Amino acid sequence: MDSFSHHAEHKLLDLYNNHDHEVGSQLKLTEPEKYKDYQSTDCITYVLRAISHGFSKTGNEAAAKKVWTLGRHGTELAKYLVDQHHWKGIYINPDQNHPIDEDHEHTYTSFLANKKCEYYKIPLDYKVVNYSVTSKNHPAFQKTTKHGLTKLNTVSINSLKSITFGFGLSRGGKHTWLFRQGKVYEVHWETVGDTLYESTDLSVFGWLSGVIVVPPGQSGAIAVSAELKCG
Amino acid sequence: MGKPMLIRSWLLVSLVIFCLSACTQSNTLLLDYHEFGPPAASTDLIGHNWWQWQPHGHSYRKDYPIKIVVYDKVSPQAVQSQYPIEPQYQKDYRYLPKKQALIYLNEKINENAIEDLTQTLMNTRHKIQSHFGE
Repeated sequence: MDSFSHHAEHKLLDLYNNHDHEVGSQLKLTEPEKYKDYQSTDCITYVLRAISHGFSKTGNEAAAKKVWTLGRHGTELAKYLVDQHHWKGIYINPDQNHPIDEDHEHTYTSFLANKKCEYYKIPLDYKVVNYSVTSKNHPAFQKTTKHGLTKLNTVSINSLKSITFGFGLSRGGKHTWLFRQGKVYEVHWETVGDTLYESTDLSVFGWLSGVIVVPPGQSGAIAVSAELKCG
Repeated sequence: MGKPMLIRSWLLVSLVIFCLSACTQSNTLLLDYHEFGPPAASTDLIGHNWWQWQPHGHSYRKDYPIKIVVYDKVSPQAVQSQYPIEPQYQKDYRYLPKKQALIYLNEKINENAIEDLTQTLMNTRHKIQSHFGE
């Protein structure tokens, strides 16, 4: 196996497992002398290192360089990957009707995903939703009871476990992360050592709604029921 | 120039500065970022909901106290000088002409995607209209 995903996944795991030489970018800013010999990293840097490595190892040096110019906003990077490299966009939302943090962000992105097949203008092909529904006795549910209890769907999220590499973003790029076999891999920019990198099961990831974009070869195993159609 | 003349000039200059400042304040309205709805709706209008001098936000959920300066009948330059963006003091302002704010709010209110959200946007529209005397 010598695909983009193979190399990008390798980098994802390499950085996740070996980062004694790294420090979060904000921590380095606050204590520059202490961390002068450490390499600075943060959530978007982790993403860019893995994706540019994948392009570089598959002979696309132009794309490997290009992605670094798009790191200013995660949404621009995701759009570039979808538009220019035929990646597929997957909208995620644990409960479309009752976001556990009661924030309109999640219900509104769900509205746009279903109506326009877009997440912050990133084209979407799939939606994986309602995989961790808010219970009836939760205050967040009580606030918007008119929808009733959301029907649990675990089929779609389980189909994401076969994806070996993806790039995710939450709240329009406020936070960016990598995705592998059902888990979110992220960097925290104000820490160092064991807490610098973290992996979390997508089903309990606290940022709730967002998007995962995956290389074209990765989307084959996504459940048919997750296909999104608009218009 | 005699001393009384100097004092009069100083008073005149002070008065002009005071008036300019007061005029700018009455022609502006400071609102919170969230009063324009979730970022998924408002980003195109007022930018992202994290510091504009950073490429992304904090990896643990954090709210940023970004202020939206809605203005009318005053130059953008005057507004910017009244409310400067100062990263060192975490002062992040987004400047928004009143007309643009109302176009956006009317559009999203008509869209009526989510009942609660529509109510929030109607409240914001009311605040703007009241402040600018419409």
